[in-house]
Formats: sequence, C-alpha cells, structure tokens
Amino acid sequence: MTTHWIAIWFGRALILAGFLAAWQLASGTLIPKMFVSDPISIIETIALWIADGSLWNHLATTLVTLLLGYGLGAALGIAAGFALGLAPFADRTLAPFIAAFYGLPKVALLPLFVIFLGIGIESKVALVAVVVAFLLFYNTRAGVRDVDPDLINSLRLMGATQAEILRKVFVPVTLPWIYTGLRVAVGYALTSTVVGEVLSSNRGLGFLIESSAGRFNSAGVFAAVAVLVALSLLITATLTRMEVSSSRWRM
Amino acid sequence: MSDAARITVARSAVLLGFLTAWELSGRFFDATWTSTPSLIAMQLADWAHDGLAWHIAVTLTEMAIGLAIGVPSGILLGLWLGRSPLPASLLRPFIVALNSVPVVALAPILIMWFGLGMEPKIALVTLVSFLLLFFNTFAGAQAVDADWIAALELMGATRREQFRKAVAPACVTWIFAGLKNALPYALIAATIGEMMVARAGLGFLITSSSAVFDMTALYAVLVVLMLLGAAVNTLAESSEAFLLRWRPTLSEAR
Repeated sequence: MTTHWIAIWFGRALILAGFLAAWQLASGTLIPKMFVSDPISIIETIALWIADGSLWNHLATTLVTLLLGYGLGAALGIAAGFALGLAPFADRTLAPFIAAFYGLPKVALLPLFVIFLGIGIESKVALVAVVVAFLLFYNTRAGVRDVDPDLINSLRLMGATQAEILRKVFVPVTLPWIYTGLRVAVGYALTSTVVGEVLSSNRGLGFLIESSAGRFNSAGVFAAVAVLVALSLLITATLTRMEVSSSRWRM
Repeated sequence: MSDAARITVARSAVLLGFLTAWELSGRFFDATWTSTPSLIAMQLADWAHDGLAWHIAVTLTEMAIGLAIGVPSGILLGLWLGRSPLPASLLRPFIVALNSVPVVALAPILIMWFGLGMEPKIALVTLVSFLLLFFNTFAGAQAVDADWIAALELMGATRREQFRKAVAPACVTWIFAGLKNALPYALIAATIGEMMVARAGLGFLITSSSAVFDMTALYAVLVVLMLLGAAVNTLAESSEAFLLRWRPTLSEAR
C-alpha cells in the first residue's frame, strides 16, 4: 500500500516536471514567448517582486479587500436572511425583486461603485460585499425556513420567551446553513476581488495581472497568476483544515 | 382579500413606491448621479430602435458558442477521467488546484492570446463552462455505486453496457447541477470579458457609458442585464425541472 502511494506521488511529480519542462522548451520555439512566457522568466519575475517588496503590497491589498468585503457581506446577508426568514409576508413580497437582483451579474455594478466610491479598495469591497451578501442571505433564509414549527410551539408551551426561542432553536438550526454559505462564499469573494481589481484599480493582484497584460509582459501576467493560484490553494487548504477540526463532533 | 391578492398588491406598492421615490428625488433634487426611471425608460426606448438588440445578440452569441464547446467537452472528459482510476488518482492534486483558482481572473491572458474581438469572450465562457461541467461530471462518475458495476459485471455486461446502463444515468443529476451553474456563469463570464476590452456587447455598453459618466445609460444597461440574468436563471431552473421530471423530488420522497 505504501509503495503504491509512493508510485502515485512519483507519477504526479513526473507529470508536473514534464509539464514545466515542455513549457520551457516550447516557449520561444514552438510558441512565441510573448504568448506563454516560460517558467524560468516567471520565477525570475516573482523573485524580483519579492526583492523590491511590491508583491507584499499587492497581496496585502487583495487580502484586505477580500476580508473587508467578505465580513461586510456576510454580516449583511445573515442579518437580511434572518429578518426576511422571520417575516413571511415581507419575504414573499420582496422575493421577486431580490431574485431579479440576484440574476444580475454583480460585476456589472462595479463601474457604478467606482463612480460613487472611487478607484481605491472601497469599490472592490462593495462588489465583494454584494456578492457575499446574496449567498449568505439565501443560505440563512433557507436555514430559518428549515426550523421545525413544532419545536417552536413546544418551547412556547413551556413558556420560553422570543429571545430564548431564537437562541435555543433558530441559532442551532441555521448554523450549519450559514456555515455552508460562508464556506462557498470564500471562493466567490476571491474571484470578485480579483476580477474587480482587473477591471479597475491601482493596486492588488488583479491589477498586477491587468497592468502586465496591458504592457504585453507575459512573464508578469503568469507570475501574478501563479501568486493568485498559490493564494487560492492556501485559502482552500486552510478552510479544509478548519472544516476537519470543527466537524469532529459530528456523526 | 385572498392571500395571493394581498401579495400582489404589496409587490406593486413596493415597486411603485420605489420608482416614485426615485423619480421624485431626481426631479426635485439632483438627477446627475441617480438619473430617473423616466429618463432610463426613454433611453431604453431610444436603444430599442438603435443597436440594443445587436449588443444583446453579441453577448448571447458569445455565451451560446462558449457553452456549445465547453459543456460537451467538460462532460466527456469528466466521464472518461471519472471512470479511469489510475489517471484520476495521478491528476487529482492538479484537479483540486484548478478547482480553487478564480478562472475568470485569467481573462487578461485570453485577451493577450485571442485579441479584442468575440474570441477571448467565447474562450472565457468555454473555459468556465468546461471546468464547471468537468468537475461535476467527474464527481458524479466517481460516485457511481460500485455494487451496480459489480452486479452488471457478474451478469456479463461489457464496459460499454455498464457505461450505458449504470454510469451515464447516475451522472445525469450531477451534469444538470453543473449545467444549472454554467448558464448564469456563462453570462457573468461574457460580461466580464466584454467589460475588459470589447467593441460590442452589454459589458461594453456598461464600460462605455460609465467612462463618460452617462448614468442614465449605465442604469439602462443594468436593467437589461438584470432581465437577461433573470431569464437565464429561469431557463436553467425550468429546464432542469423539465429534464429531471422523472426523478422524485425531495418532498415527494419524504
């Protein structure tokens, strides 16, 4: 069994090495270097960015935008999900309007945010917040609707106050739904951050991709993409680890 | 008043109230940044004679061609890799890595490769829909009950028969889940591509109107995109409901 896994990992390393070697060799011979760059130039570009410190600036901008937008959007979405989940009439009245807004590709709102909030991180934070808020809203509302009315009625019979019902029934029932929403929203938030930066910004990983592409600096584009890939892998790995440790108690 | 009637009244009241407040605030204060619903309606009426259909057609064409290439190739690769244990286990870390990458952020590379026309947008829609369908079909093909395959093998089924009788039907739900995501995502990808560089399409209309601070035009495009997005979502949901109508729903199964 162990030798089997060693063979698999060896095969994987071989595929990766073969891919990088083929890329390096094909670049400049089979395919113009301007289109695909090559692994060595990409690593050199990343090393250069690390040396002059610009990489950390851009990475920090992207991360701050991501976190602010995510936090703001999650708070708004959860609050709205509870509010409408607990008010069926308002919920049914507003449902078609919310659905219509949900259908709009949210990135189309970015120019509006840039006009109102400027080219700084605020406009991207707003974009990420809108994207995340919708996901959390729908998940939280589904969770609130999932609450068994019998549970509420029996607690009422036992003389529980509204606050107690909220704490003892709604929070535990909706928590897994909110958790799922939070987990899914991370990927969307990262995508929106970077797309927002690509479209209009003056800092961040997305800006690095776009400004390198604008100067036909393919090594720069691929270097920025490589950093982005590393960042998303790191985020995914962290989330997976958190999931494993937080769901130990579950059956 | 019946319940449904009350909801309809409430909805109309919300919509009318919102539009009236918007219109009045634009009329009596300042319409520079917020425009007004009447201006937006006039803009849309203007466009209706002049070019809006063309921009919508460009966006829809990019979506359609991209989906037509990306969806079948994603399904085929997912089916094949999902039923090939050795390549699948060799490629697994790469697939996981690919799954966590924000693919639409790669649009600048596609523009570098394919230029400024419709091609990079088609390529982006293709890439996004291919990956969505691939990940879903791959997961579905791997989740096929091993007992079914064993039973079919016992009955002497060939690999082809196993595929037709067990693997393909089991993957259908997964494929439709992927398709349901791919449709709205195709609109998003086409819009993003057009917002980066384009000469036509709804994304182009957004950037060109915001570049000259023509707020009325900007809101007008957003209205069109909203309607288009709602139509795409409805289409995705109703086609899934129609094609999977043989499957008992969750409530029926209970």
